[in-house]
Amino acid sequence: MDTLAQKTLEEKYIIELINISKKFSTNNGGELKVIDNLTMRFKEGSISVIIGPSGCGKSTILNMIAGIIDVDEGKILVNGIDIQRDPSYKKSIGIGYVFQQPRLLDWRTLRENVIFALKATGTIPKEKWNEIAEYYLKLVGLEGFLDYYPLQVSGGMQ
Amino acid sequence: MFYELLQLIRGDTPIGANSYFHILQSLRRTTAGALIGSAVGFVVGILMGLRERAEDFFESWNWVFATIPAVMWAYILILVMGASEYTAIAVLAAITYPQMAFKISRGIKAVRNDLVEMGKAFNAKLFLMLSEVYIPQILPHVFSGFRYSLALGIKIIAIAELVGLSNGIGFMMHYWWSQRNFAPLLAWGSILVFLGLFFEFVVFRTLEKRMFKWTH
Repeated sequence: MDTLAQKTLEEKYIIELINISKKFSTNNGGELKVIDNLTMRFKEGSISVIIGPSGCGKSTILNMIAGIIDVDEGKILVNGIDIQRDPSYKKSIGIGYVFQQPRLLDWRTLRENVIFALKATGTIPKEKWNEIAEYYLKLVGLEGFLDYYPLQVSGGMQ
Repeated sequence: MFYELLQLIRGDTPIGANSYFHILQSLRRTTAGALIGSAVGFVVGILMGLRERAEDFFESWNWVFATIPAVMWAYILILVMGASEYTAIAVLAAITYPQMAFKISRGIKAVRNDLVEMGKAFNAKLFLMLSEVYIPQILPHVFSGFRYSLALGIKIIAIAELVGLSNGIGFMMHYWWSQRNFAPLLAWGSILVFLGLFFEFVVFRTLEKRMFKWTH
């Protein structure tokens, strides 16, 4: 079996993609197979880079690891656990995801956008939301823009 | 006409009830019709936006509903329901419902997938996704649909009240028409224009500024 439990300590993989495939429907009713029987492993504590030409499926791989889209075949293990079967698990090990473009709720202030993410975790008490949001916004130099809406700040600030 | 308008503002009518009674009756029917039509349109619009088969089914029927003239609706519904208060409301609901259905179905299709993906990446639960991601995006379409429904309702309430009702702005217009007295008829008609302007410039624009301040 190809799971973390059977690996030695030197080969401890935090994320494993095992024989995964993914296809998308095309506009003309056909199918485009973007990922075909791919296996990849990422070691704990390492920095990994996925390189490839446009459209080769880099974002698709990340989206599948983040649980944004499902795999058609194969499985993704995080700490040995299949995230498709237990999607809530990825939250507990702290998978973060930075999108290529800003994805902000335009109808919420910057503070409320951070609070949205805190609410989504379901583990942080309500009374801490404001404090945490202010801390992180201050960290990136946005302390003067806490109650601004995304459309009121520059692209860089977003 | 201005003298008649002044009389109307003072509350005078030649046939019993105070003019404000007639105005309030029309307003009540317009609001009820627009609300019922919008509620039905909202449900149908959601089905159309989410299910392709529902869209195929309702799309053509909505256009049929949307193109039937108001006066034809009035006669059809009088035949079915008899001439009553509810008939006028039903006429308004039948006319306003397709607009809301179209707006909501388009609103649902315009929900930004990138934000849905963002929510999923944060593991947001369904309630949070609905309250923070989906509903705020659909809300402008609901608002615009109801605004349009009410404007349409104000335009056609007179037609709905012409047939078989004994009060309301439409009734008063019909009364003055039967008297061949056009000045008070125009004065009553202008009340509908004022009501339309009041809802647009006082009610909806104020609400819009409050609800969608993030767009400014």
